[in-house]
Amino acid sequence: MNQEFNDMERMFQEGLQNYEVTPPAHVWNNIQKQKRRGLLFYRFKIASIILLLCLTGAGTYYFMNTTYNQETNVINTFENKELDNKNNEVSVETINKSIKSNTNDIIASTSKSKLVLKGNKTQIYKHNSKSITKKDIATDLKDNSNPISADDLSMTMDYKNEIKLKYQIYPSLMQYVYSTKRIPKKYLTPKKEKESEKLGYKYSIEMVGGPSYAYRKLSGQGSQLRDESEQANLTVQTGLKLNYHINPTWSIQSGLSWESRNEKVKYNQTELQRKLTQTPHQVTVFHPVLPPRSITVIDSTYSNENVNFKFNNANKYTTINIPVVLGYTFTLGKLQYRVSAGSLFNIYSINSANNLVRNGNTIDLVKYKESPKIKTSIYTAVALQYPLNTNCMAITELSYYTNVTNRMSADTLLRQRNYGLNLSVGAKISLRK
Amino acid sequence: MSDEELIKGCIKGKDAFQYELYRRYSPKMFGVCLRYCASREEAEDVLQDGFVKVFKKMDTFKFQGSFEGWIRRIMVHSAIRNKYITLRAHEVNTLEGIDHPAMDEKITSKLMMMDLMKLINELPQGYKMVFNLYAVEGYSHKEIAELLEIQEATSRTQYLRARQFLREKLDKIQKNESRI
Repeated sequence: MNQEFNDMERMFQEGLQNYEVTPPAHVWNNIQKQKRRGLLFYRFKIASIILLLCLTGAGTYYFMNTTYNQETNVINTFENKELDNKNNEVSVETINKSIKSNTNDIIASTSKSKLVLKGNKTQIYKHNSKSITKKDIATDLKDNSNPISADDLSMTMDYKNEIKLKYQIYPSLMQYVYSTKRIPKKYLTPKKEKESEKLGYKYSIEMVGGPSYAYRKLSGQGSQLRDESEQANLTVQTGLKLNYHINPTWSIQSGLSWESRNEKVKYNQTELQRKLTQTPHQVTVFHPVLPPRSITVIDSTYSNENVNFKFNNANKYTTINIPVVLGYTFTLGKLQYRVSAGSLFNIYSINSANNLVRNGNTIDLVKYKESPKIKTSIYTAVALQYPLNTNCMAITELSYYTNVTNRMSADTLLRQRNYGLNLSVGAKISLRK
Repeated sequence: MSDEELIKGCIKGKDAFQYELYRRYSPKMFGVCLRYCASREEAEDVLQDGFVKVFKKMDTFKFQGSFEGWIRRIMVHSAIRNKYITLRAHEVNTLEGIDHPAMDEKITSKLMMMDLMKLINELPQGYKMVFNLYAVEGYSHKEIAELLEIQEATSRTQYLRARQFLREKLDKIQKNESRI
């Protein structure tokens, strides 16, 4: 039985271990598609994780600071805010005078500390009385029917001696009060107004532009030759975008952006190729019975020869994109930061580009064929905004995008994805309600 | 280009290297898939899944042992994942009623690869899987049992039934040969 087992195994092993059948061509195409699907899923997964982390971070920051921050119209920096009994009144007139003179006046002082008004803006306390006293605040605190307004918050906190307050206020930014301790909610007036009303504007328009560096990743047949020959250049981009502010922190951005991409096609290689030379000549063939016949014989000889391929061209691509981006804005000090993520839709592309393509033993320059479909990219950006005046802000933005769809037309075996890093400088103007 | 260069290129994700690897190994691996699958279409699917796994797991290859053997194992496992549910339906737990007639060298010498493939493909799916794993790939019954999540005795039974089935087919061929 064992002998017979061995025979059977040997027969099938020897017969079938090296059995080969060439699979149909579409299997390789399907493998490529499946790989791309996996890659696409992987990229979406990474992008989703980044977006989720950004949102979690932004959300945590927002909620951690909600109870600490309170909007107010006070536009000053108060330091060392203890008032003694002798100087416990700050008149509105004194404050206004300080604002007009644009100086940092000492408006109240004690032997230990000073109350300094750094007045250089346009608005300050909106208290009904001419002066704010400890007594007023104490009365307000006792009277539950008359909660302390946000406008009086600084004095309230000062009186309670609970926290150290710092104000960094600009009208075009959210006007935050920062504190080092938690402000008890009972001292805060509930916000009744809509967030958008507090912001002062609902729409803003921004115009940005600057240097752009876009490179691309190729895959599929012929990618190696293009990788060897092409080199991306630094170019320019610009955009006009409209922001819709859902509230002081969240906004939706869209508009138009224009981007140019240039690259060099430089290639200089010598290849050793086998060249076939065929020489036909006539030969007469003699036969013992049949008459002589003349036939053509072709002599074929192979020789090795060096072939040089040299190219030096420039490619230019121009694209117009529509961004659809969700932004989260927060303020640290005098600067405002915006973190945004979303999609970039490439609605129009034009190019004057030729790429190297190997065709048997030769290398040719072939016209770049771009897909006519709308190409989608994942887009992320970080912007730094500095207020110039109440309506205008200077913006510096660093953005990055990556294509999720192939840029090349479906009939080419090559696939291309672009990656772009843009640095933009510009201005943002708020549009009043 | 050596296998080592090819593997390193594939690990870097270079398409040209992956294509070369596919071109080099796909005929043999398609042969493996055809042995395990009921139809050519199914074998194409298994080959496709298998190569996607090969490219994905390429960085786990330790450059120890045969690379072809490594790819082959992935293909076999892909085929098994595709098929093992069917196999469980055929599970048999008895060794009774199986005889073991001797092999005729004359027949084997006359059988070509294609004939062997035909014979293998005539086997019921469960028998085919075990027979391929045991007789062609060289797996032990213990390994087969673990792979297919069946009992070791079942693997033996399936194998012997497959042999009996093939034996009958070979006898017919032998009779036809003797008539000629």
